Amino acid sequence: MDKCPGHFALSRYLADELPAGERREVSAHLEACERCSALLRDRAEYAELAEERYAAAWQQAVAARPHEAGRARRPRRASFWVFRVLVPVAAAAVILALVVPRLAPPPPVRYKGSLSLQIIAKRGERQFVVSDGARLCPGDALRFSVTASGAKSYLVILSLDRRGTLSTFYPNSTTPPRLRARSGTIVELTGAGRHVLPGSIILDRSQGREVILLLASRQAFDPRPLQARIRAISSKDPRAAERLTGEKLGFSGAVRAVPIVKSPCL
Amino acid sequence: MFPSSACLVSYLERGVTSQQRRTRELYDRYSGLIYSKCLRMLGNKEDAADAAQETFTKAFCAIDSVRKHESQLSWLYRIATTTCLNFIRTRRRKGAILLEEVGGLVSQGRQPLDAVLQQRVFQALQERCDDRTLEIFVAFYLDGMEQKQIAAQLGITRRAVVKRLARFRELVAEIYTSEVG
Repeated sequence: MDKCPGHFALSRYLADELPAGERREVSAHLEACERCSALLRDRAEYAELAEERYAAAWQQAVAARPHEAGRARRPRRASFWVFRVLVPVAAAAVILALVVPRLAPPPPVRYKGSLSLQIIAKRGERQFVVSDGARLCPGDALRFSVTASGAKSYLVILSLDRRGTLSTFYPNSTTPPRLRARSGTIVELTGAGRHVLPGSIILDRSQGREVILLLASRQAFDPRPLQARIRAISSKDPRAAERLTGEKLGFSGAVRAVPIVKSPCL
Repeated sequence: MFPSSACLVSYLERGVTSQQRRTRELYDRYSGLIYSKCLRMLGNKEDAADAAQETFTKAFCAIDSVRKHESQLSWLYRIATTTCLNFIRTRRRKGAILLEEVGGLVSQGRQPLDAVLQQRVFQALQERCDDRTLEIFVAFYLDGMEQKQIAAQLGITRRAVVKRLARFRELVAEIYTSEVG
């Protein structure tokens, strides 16, 4: 692609909705064109900032004054009294159900390389963001959302349980090929913006402390030696993995550890 | 704006699962971009938040109308454009970025417009332009869509888009002449 892509194409790239071929072309162009990369960075940052502001505005409007919001937005020509009551109340309920759980979460954790990770747990109909030390139950479904700012990001998400068993959450057998790097052992994310990894991880019946580890880098890497080092470090001190850093692992990328506690739910 | 009563009744009858999931996916993926667009069109954070909220509410009601191979972003952009143009009309907002764009079009090779004149030109444009032409203007100049993309989205030919854009520019020039002399 010699010509710079238009603003709309860049927005679609950011929203991850370009067809694969076009996406590859834009990616290749971004690597060569500083102007477009800068524009995309600005857009990504702005879109993220906008989302936070938008979320805050919704939360404030809906949580603080749902009944007033309902009155202000009631259709002017309600044909009979039922809709004067039913429409605002039902709509407020719908919007609360749809939006509040999504808007309430604390800000995602940022780490080196301006990537951020958010883990969202679903238990029945309830969804919440997993913070450090969160208590989770067997059967909880975890989804991972990564916000990247670079053209390419590579990552692996692991889990280390109290017995020292290291499992790989991502990539897994259901990770689509478009998200796998050539080696197949790491996830490759193309483009800036938020990437919600497909599928969810269902927590098994084991109990006790566990650590979810994210290893990420702007360059492709081989996770196997890093996994061996994690096993070695945790065999000496089971809770050392909670304090893991790139330096301790001899890894030039970013490391993020999220400890959780698994216990049965009543 | 809340969903219309018909939309709500249909929603309550059909249950939440599929519609809720699809709306959430849309929200997750596009809320930032839609808010940014509304902010660019309205130039006011509070209005932009309201317009984005209204856009997603409308999207929620009309989610079944997204065509299979259609870009969801352009579909949402279109809803957001209509919503923002309505805000500009009903709330008498200035439509900051629209004014700048119109001002830019008008002042090519001419004396630049001050804010008051920009506002008058834009007011006159709204009175003399039909909704579809304004929509095409926003899609082309603000959203950066290509003529063929606009044509596909609106279900018209590319030639019709070109004609409408040309007519728009002529109209801007006419209004400029009558306002500025």
